[in-house]
Amino acid sequence: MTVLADVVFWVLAVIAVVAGAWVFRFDSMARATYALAVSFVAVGLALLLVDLDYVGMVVVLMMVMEMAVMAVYMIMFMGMNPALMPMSMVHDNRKAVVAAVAGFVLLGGGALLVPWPVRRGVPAPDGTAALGEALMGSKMLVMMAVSPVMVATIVAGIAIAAPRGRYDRLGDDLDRGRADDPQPGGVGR
Amino acid sequence: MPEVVTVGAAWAVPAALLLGLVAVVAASADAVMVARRDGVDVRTGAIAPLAETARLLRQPRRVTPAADAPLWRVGRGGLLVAALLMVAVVPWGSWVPADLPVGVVWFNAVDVTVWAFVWLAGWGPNAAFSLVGAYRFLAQALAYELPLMFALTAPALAAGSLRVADVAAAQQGLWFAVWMPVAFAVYCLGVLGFAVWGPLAPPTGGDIAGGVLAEVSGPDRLLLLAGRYALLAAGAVFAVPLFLGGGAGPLLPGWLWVLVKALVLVVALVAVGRRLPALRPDRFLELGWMVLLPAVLLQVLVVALVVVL
Amino acid sequence: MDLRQRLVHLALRRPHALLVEVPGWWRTRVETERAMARRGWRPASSPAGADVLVVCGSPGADLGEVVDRVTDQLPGPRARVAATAPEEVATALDEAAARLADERAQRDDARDRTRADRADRADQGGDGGDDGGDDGGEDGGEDGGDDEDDGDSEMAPEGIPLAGSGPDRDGLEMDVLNVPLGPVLEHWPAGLVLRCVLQGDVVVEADVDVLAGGAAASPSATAAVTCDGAARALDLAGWGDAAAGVRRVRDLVLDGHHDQARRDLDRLAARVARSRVLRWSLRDLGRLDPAQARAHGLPDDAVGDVHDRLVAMLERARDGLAGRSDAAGDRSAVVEALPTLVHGLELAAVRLVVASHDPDTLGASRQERADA
Repeated sequence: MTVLADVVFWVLAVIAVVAGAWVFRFDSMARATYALAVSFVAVGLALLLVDLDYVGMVVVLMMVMEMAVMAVYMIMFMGMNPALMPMSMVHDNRKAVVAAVAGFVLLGGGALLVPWPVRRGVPAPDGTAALGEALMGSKMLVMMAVSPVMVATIVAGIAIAAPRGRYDRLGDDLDRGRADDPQPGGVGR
Repeated sequence: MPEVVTVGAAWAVPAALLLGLVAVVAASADAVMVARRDGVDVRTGAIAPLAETARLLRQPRRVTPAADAPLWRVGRGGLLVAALLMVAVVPWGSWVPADLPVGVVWFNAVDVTVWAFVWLAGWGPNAAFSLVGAYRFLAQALAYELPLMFALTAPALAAGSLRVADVAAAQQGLWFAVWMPVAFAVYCLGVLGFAVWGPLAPPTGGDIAGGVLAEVSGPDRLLLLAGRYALLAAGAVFAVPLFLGGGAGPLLPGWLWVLVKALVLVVALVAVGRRLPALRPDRFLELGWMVLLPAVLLQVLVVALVVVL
Repeated sequence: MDLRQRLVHLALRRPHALLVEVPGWWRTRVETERAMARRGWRPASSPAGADVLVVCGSPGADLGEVVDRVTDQLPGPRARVAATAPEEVATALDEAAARLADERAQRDDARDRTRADRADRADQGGDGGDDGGDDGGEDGGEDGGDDEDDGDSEMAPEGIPLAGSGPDRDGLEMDVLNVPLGPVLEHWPAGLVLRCVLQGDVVVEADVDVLAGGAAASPSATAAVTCDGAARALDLAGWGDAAAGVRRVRDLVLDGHHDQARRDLDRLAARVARSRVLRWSLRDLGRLDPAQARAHGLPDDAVGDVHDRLVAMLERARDGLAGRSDAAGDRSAVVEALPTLVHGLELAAVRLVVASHDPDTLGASRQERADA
């Protein structure tokens, strides 16, 4: 089992790093986006090895979804057919490479050199719950306060950015029966 | 914990065959319905999947100018792989190919990969109608995915577990489909969505010359069409442990009950899908967020109250 | 019978055919559809999905050229056949089936094509694809001192020019792409070409043309033609079952079973008018008020949205069958109005709006010829 786990870990680790590197080697938005997705999927699956099934699956789920949506925006803002027009995925190359290598060495070195504690006792029966407790147990109040603030920020951001508000749609007295929309929605608000 | 035996990897083969059977029945059912509608011999409908396969195997692969070949290939092959991965966690009565403790989330994660595959299949050929189809799929996916996610939550919440076998076992006496009708209906709509089928078929619509399917021929087209039916079948198979009592039933062995229930559901999905006009993505998006999502959240609330009380 | 033969035999149970209707050969196209349904053949939506190309009528030079190009896109084994009268349809389909079954000829065809393709690629300098103008400076490039960027700086990789850009309906700048709709397109009026400038899938500009055929016989049975138009709109609304029902009524009318047709049509029209999903899906699409309709010279029943026009179309067919005044009106003027009618709509809506107006391309092409 441990040998198999080792093999799986190394395969996933190599896929994650190589796919991550390809993000900057590819010259197409679509390929770069999905290379990043592959990298994240490998990381998510690696989490299954430490019995964090739920967290691992959610990483896969969120990242694939996110990359699908990101591809839409990247291609939308970068032109109709970047598949045809090769374009570089790197900006300010030299500094970026230095920063990336330094970050990798710092984190990787830290992970290898820090004296990890030896396990005392047995692993918790539910790894996900234990991880949640460890991460946020004492800070639950803060976390709960942060989420409505984040939602409010998103709503406010959209409200400020939206070119048309309810007065445009429903009239100055908000008394128009059916909203006047250039692209009517499905509910008929 | 209910008893299910995790069988060896070799047993993934019978599971795949059973999925294939459900998919072929779905394709046949569709062709039979068309044949009956057109007043043609029903038998020509019944062998349609076979004839279609033979026809497409005779054709060569088609290449478009400046296509993104690797991504196109991933998109075309992906649908079938996703369907197989979905059924990997389904218990066929008392045996299951992979007994994941988070099987429900696994299913959800795999159905999200369909976003990527359909989009890639439409992006690959570098053709306008294909790309329009690909973006239509993403628009429709944004509308069905969140309601589907919460519809999957409801049975797991009632069973108190994300393990598929636990969810199936928690339905002794009363199927979840009966007392969570909203979640079940939204789940079925989600299945039609990720299988790009029936009212949610606009990404492959005739108005854009077949959309994602517009530029593919030969074995590639076969893969995409088979992938769609396999996804429809996988959705029906997964619904059995989730909503339809799993392998429980009199007389027959568990695995056969799962198969029978899945076949009935898949034929029902095909029949209902045929009877409805398309839910056009620009309208469906608002419906998904303003109607389906609140409705299914209320359903989850009701389930939570029932579980607590 | 060896395996290969068995495969061919099986494949021929279900060929897919792409139809090209030349304006004026409505009756031939309808007969082709019926003959196909009887044999269990299926309609194809794109050249890639087709084994057979059936040309209904004798196309003029322009349309003929397009049909040639479409034929080239069939993956093969392929057969292109023509029928210029309803009586010729059966023979044409038989011929297509025989050609598909002829393994040797198909192999030769495939070999010739590969060769022609190679020759093409060898001497092609780099035109082709659609003209999009030049891109106003690909703006991924605030790249401070990249060494690998701008390797090939011409904005036409593989000979296909990149899209240009223009202001979109939200006031942002967005790329444009030229995409023609028609003349070979499923559920599309015969010979019509709508050259669209797209931003995403929204039509920002359009230009209309009708590719006519040679001298043509005109269609006669008005109620049947109207049913056909309604079926087309229903197909585009994704309701294949209802469309097939309306097509069956069309066939009953053509065969002279008027009583049966009337009963079926009453039932279908009620079903279509009652469907709330259809109403919801088509509501407010392409809405015209009476003043706009008059300004374009459109008949009175062009007023309203796509759903209204679809219901009106079925109503018109019922009137025609009941012997009441079939106020079909002149539907050729709508062809000229199409660019304005589809402006600012996305592709699905464009298709539905065009179908709901049921444009008479034959009338329009005749008028054009008379004017010239």
